[in-house]
Amino acid sequence: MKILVVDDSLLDRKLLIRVLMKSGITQEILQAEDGEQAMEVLATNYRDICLILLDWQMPKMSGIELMAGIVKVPELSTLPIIMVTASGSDENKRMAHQVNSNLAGYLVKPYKPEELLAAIKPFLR
Amino acid sequence: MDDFEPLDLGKFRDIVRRESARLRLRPGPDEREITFTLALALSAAVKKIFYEKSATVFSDEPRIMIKPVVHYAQRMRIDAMEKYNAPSVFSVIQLGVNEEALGRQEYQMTVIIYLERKFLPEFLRLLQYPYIDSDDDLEAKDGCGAVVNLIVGQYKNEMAILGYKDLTMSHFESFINTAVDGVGIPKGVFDKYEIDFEIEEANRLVIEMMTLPSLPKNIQR
Repeated sequence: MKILVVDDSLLDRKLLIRVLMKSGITQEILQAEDGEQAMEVLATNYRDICLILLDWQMPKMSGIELMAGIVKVPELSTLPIIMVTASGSDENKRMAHQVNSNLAGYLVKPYKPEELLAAIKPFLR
Repeated sequence: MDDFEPLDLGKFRDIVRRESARLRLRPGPDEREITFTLALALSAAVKKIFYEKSATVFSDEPRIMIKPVVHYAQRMRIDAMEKYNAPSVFSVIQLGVNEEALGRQEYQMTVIIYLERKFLPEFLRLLQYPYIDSDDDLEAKDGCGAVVNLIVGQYKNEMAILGYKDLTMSHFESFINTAVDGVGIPKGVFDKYEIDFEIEEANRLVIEMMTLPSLPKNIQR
């Protein structure tokens, strides 16, 4: 199975992937730098994806917009999504849970590696 | 037998757009402010052209409205007849960071002008262009294309004043009444600005502008 990492910051993607690799995770990691690109990756890989790590603020299409669409697509609606964002405001957290009542997690950057790993562990297949 | 079918990307995109609009997830106030400023600059460019080339005065201030884009595959569906409820001609220009980006259909902005076909010769006369036969499709398309070239050329000057980098213009494409395959617009844009200009109390020029909010800017020194 594969993990999809969606973040417009190459540095943030690299950091996140490094944490995953160092922890010994063997899942293939797919990357997208905005919501538009993530849609394209999802369209052709959704059956193999076990988890989406999703940034909020991105150009072209934000993470929250993408998530709002994902939960309405039957083939994608059960995919676990963890928001990984710099915005830790209560309002944003509330909005994320409103958009996706099954939100699998909400991590605020900068996160500790152990927080990330604990959040993703239940979803690795 | 593997029955895996990729998702229909067009439908997926439509769902995202619909949910985003329903939940009012976009655009943020900052993005809206930026794109509105760009729409204002476009209306200023048109006013400047008329001020310099014609004695024509617009009956009223241009009316700027935000409307949803109707997507067609990854393009925008267009029905020019809606603008004037009469046969119309329209021309499209896309702006990209360079020729290569335009070739890849990576647009930063799309500008469309709509003119009522029967008013086209008069409109061109106001802008000091020679007479054209608006019943001739080729002449009508070419005349409308000349207008969009003029407007977008002036608009680029206005954008430079706002600190934006000089974008590369595509060649214009003109259509009568409709564009069967839609027109190319920037990816991920869900709203368009429609600007209406009145001459002698009648709507004589309609411009639509779709833009990314994050256009490249010149570095401030």
